[in-house]
Amino acid sequence: MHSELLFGKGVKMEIRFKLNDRQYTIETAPGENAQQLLQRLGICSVRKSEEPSGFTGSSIILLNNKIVNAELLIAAQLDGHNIKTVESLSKKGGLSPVQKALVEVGVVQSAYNSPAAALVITNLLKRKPDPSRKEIMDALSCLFIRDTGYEPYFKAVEIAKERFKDPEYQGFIAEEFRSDLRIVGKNYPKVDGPQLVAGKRAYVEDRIQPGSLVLKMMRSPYAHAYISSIDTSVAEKTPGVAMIITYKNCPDHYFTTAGQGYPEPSPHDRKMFGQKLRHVGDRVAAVVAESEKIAYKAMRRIKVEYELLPTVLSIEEAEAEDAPVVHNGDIDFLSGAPDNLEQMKQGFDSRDGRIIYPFPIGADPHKNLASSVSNGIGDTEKGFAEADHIIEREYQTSQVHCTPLEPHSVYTLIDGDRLVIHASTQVPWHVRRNIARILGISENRVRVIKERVGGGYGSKQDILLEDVAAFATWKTGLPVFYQFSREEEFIACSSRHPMNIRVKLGAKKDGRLTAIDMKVKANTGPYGNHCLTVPMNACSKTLPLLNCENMSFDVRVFYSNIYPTGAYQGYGAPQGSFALQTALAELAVELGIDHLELIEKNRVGEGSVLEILRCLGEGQEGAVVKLASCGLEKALDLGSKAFAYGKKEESSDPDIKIGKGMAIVQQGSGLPGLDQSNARITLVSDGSLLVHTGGADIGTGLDTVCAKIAAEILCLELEKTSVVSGDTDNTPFDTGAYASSGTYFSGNAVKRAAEDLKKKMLNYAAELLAEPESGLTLEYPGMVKGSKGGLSFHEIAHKAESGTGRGHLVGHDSYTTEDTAIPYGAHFCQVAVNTRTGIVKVQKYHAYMDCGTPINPELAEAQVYGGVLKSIGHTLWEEMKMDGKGVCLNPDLKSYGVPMVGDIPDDFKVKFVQTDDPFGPFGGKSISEVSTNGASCAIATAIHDAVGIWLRDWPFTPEKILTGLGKL
Amino acid sequence: MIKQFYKPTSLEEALLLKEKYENAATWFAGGTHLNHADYKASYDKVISLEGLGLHYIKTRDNTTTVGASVTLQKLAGNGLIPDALRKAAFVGAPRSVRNMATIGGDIASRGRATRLLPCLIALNARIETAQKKSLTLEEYLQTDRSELILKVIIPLVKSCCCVNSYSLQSGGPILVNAAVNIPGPESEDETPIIAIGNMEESVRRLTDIEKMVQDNPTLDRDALESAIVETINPVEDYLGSVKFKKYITAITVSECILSCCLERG
Ligand SMILES: Cc1cc2nc3c(=O)[nH]c(=O)nc-3n(C[C@H](O)[C@H](O)[C@H](O)COP(=O)(O)OP(=O)(O)OC[C@H]3O[C@@H](n4cnc5c(N)ncnc54)[C@H](O)[C@@H]3O)c2cc1C
Ligand code: FES
Repeated sequence: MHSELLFGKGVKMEIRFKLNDRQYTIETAPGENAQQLLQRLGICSVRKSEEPSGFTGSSIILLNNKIVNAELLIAAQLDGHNIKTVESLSKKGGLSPVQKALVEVGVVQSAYNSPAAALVITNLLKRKPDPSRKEIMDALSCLFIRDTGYEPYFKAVEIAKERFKDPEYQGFIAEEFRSDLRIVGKNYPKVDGPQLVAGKRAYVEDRIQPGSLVLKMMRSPYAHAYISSIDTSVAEKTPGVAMIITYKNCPDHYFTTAGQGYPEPSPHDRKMFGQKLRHVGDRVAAVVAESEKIAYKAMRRIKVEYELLPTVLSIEEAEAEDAPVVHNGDIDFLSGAPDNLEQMKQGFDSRDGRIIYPFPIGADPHKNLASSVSNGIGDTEKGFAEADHIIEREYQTSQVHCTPLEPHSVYTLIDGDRLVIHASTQVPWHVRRNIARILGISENRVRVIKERVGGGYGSKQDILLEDVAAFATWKTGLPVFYQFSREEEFIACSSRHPMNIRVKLGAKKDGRLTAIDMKVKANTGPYGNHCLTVPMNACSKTLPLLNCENMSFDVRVFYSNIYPTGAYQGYGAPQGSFALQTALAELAVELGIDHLELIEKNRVGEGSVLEILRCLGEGQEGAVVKLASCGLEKALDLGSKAFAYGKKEESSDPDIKIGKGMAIVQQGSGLPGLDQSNARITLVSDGSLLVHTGGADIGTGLDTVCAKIAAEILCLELEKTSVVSGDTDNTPFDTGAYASSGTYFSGNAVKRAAEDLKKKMLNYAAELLAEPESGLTLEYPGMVKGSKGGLSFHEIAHKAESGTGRGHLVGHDSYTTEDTAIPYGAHFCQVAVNTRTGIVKVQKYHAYMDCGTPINPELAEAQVYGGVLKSIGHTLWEEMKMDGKGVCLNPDLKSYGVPMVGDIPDDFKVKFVQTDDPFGPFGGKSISEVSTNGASCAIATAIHDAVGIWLRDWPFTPEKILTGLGKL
Repeated sequence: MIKQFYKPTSLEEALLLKEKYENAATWFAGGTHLNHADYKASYDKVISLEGLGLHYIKTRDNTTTVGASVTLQKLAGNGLIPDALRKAAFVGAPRSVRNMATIGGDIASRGRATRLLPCLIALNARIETAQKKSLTLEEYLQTDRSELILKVIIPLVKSCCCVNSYSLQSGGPILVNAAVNIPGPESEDETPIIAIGNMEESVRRLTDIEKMVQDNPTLDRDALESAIVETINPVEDYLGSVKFKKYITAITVSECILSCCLERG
């Protein structure tokens, strides 16, 4: 038969294929993207995290038992073939051995690529039942994994491989802690792991109902311009267009995208749309339409004229005397207006809009100064005068991206007279507050549901698309879906602030520090979200690692026309840590003392008084802290032994030079005095537990932390404990998932709520058993025991809910604190520098971490791998490159340079150094952010050890190495 | 946007379709290039090669013949294929792409980024088109785009052939992709071949360097590197400066030459 007859002449063709063993015959446009087709057929596990490129692996399927990227196929290519997706692995509802192993080792976190990973590994084990490390790496090379650093996948392969032979096989997962506890500190599958690895509906995009509108954003081609005219009239007439939003018809409300506690320490320096455009990719107009195609068609019909302005890209340009002004608007303060306000706002241009400061943050916007702060303890001048040796060094960091696999997404709809926002967010309550204010409605009319989050890493602490979708839904009454493209992830998302940090250190001959001065200049880009707090963290999460009586810091943050910045895991600490820790290593070399000895002489330890914290509060007065737990001593001891630190290694290849480096790191556990978490635990009718927490699990396992804490305290099986979280209608208030607050704040709130429920249960049981409450105890599993008798939780719940009962039993409490729990760590690495190619290979990297009690050891471990690999990426490869006009040259993951499995250290290890923190729940402290702070300084030091050059600007590219070696 | 997808089951049928639609129809192999986000040209009729039976690898009379639809993965895993070509097929693309991308597609993309072309040039491979033309790859690169490649014919490797590439990281773009063939003492009638891809606008042979190696087989590394730096013309982009690119091309190519010389003895 002639093919033309077979497939017809029209734009539709009939294709037949087998999908997960079911025969399909469908009519489709032959060029329809296969990933989209599978989505249309209800297979939501085949996802899109980038425009078709085959790089991320999110759309992986099996085509005739071979791994391929559905995004790189068209519908017609499926014709006549056998397609399998992850749904084929868990046919009977249960998980396959590979899926189970992935959940067990803790890699199903943000999980956007977990179904793809399950397919890839299943395919590998079919081909190679006993694969080598190299073969595993080859299989994993088609997956981009950002959250868990690849290393635990090797363990998953090992376990799955054995399970195929012996279904009962129990492999080693991760070291467990706290033998006195039943559940906390033990490896238990993450509560949402099975759902996610099976590729079930979980993310915002899985909620879209037929008939929803899509929103697409027209973005500025210029880095700095005014819109001199905009005409949407023709575009609006395009059939299928529901609405076009520009600065002319958007709400007249100024806000910050930063999802921080109110009042935010960030200026309200933007509206939904402005007449002034401040970066390439800034919002010009939103088109809301029935389809993407219509939206783009309408967008091409919008006529815009721009008045171009000179651009400001670097810090130097921004602070220059006659620099173009990025925010030349009117200025206001909600509190604490300075006396010179009139002078500050002089000459403002109304086209720039306004800036409203909730409180002063040391800004002078007409001079491009977004914020500033300086302070210190002791007398640094005196300290430097007392020093035998002083060094002063300058370090620079580039603009790097969070790159979550799940792009920023939102789906908004109307339910009755209320607005419902399905969000991929770290901060549901801040989203609710902001959106209500933007729309001018009260907060009871807004419900935010945090869906599973496929990676956030800080970037989803900003409210980057919820406002405009919400407004479109509010105005049209129709559901609206808006998802960033990968390019928008680069050009319209928050990223790490580029910084320029000068460190001055004074020390005695023996290495004891007499004074430290840090001068931080940061580039906040077009808007001031997080402009005080992130750069401040460069000091507040680094200076308190050191005992020194005289410390001072000065932080100055500038507006410019680079791409937006904001929060990113580590929150300024990675930059500060790079500068301060590398400077210490440089000092050790200059003084001729061992690097480790210098660290040992100056580091803090248990009992140290952290005086410097007094002047490092986030927008408020901080508190001096006496350090209650610190695992640095043990971490340093383990690391220095494992690396034979100080011993020189040689390579047999004369081009390769080997060096070792290390750094100590810290972070915080939430923001004492600022954060708050609440929890409620209900004893369900049959004696099981339902935990309601406001905490936002962004893949990290916070729901699992909460379930474990509740089950531990209430002596019940984990399987009988469920968690509902992050829904502003159904769960109590929580400030959100940022500043490493989850385990400490939300975990402590659950702990208190569990204790409250326990008290109520014992009290009621005492009445029922007619025994004194003091003689009753909870016993595993789910029993109250007295001296005479006992009651099961079921009996208690049943009685409480009966016609003569007390009413159903609910424990609740909130957690606020002034107590600080600081996680610590020591990172060691060994690098091989190829002096011919300039390539740095990280041969060995160990992170020794103190997070108090690791509540979920396997999840915590996987997260540290992820944090470390991200920071190795920032150190060696990742960088957003711009041309002189502020246009990004590499807005895709491959050219931007994220690390893949082939880039991980050969010997990659995470080890926990357990400490007992009196304030964390069961002694738990935070873990994820702290792990991003060590790589740059450890690698810089190792490179110096190898080839004798100091690299002081991220990333350490081969070009910089070769230049340093005099080869270019 | 693709409006028509033809899946002929014989070569005659495929050629008839092409004759009918001429340049309006595009050959469609694995689609990894055509379906890629970076592929901007538009096409509305495609002719799939899937049903043409071009998936074979055969060896006879000192030559290996590879059908145009053989995937990079099959190439990388097949013992009949010279080691250098297997390596070239393996490097730089994840398995999921290797499973779809074909040798014919790689050659016909003629992109400045290519995995196989330098190596195929170095191996003295020829292609055979549907018009029964037998061409060297260099000749093919001069021809009309629409000619259907049926097979690639690789002569027995008597000489030493080596490939080497440079990228900043495992999944990143390949900055330079080099292949070198240095004839062994027993094949003195042949001359060295040195080809590079990815660095300049198109794939090309470094004829000056070939001559240098031919004239003086005991060249030292420094002399080679300086000569290579002189002969190439990269442009600066986000991956690096001109100076850097010249340097890494020089070390990548010279490494390849020297290891070939070493092997040859
Ligand atoms: C992640 C990723 C990385 C990539 N990296 C590279 C890279 O480093 N280097 C590189 O070269 N490419 C790269 N590509 C592009 C592509 O994979 C290769 O060029 C590949 O070999 C194309 O093969 P294909 O079969 O998929 O071609 P297709 O996409 O089907 O076709 C490509 C072109 O070749 C033509 N064509 C195909 N077969 C024939 C034939 N037999 N006769 C005549 N014309 C034909 C088509 O008309 C089309 O113009 C990459 C792609 C991806 C997805
Ligand atoms: S294959 Fe490289 S020297 Fe022969």
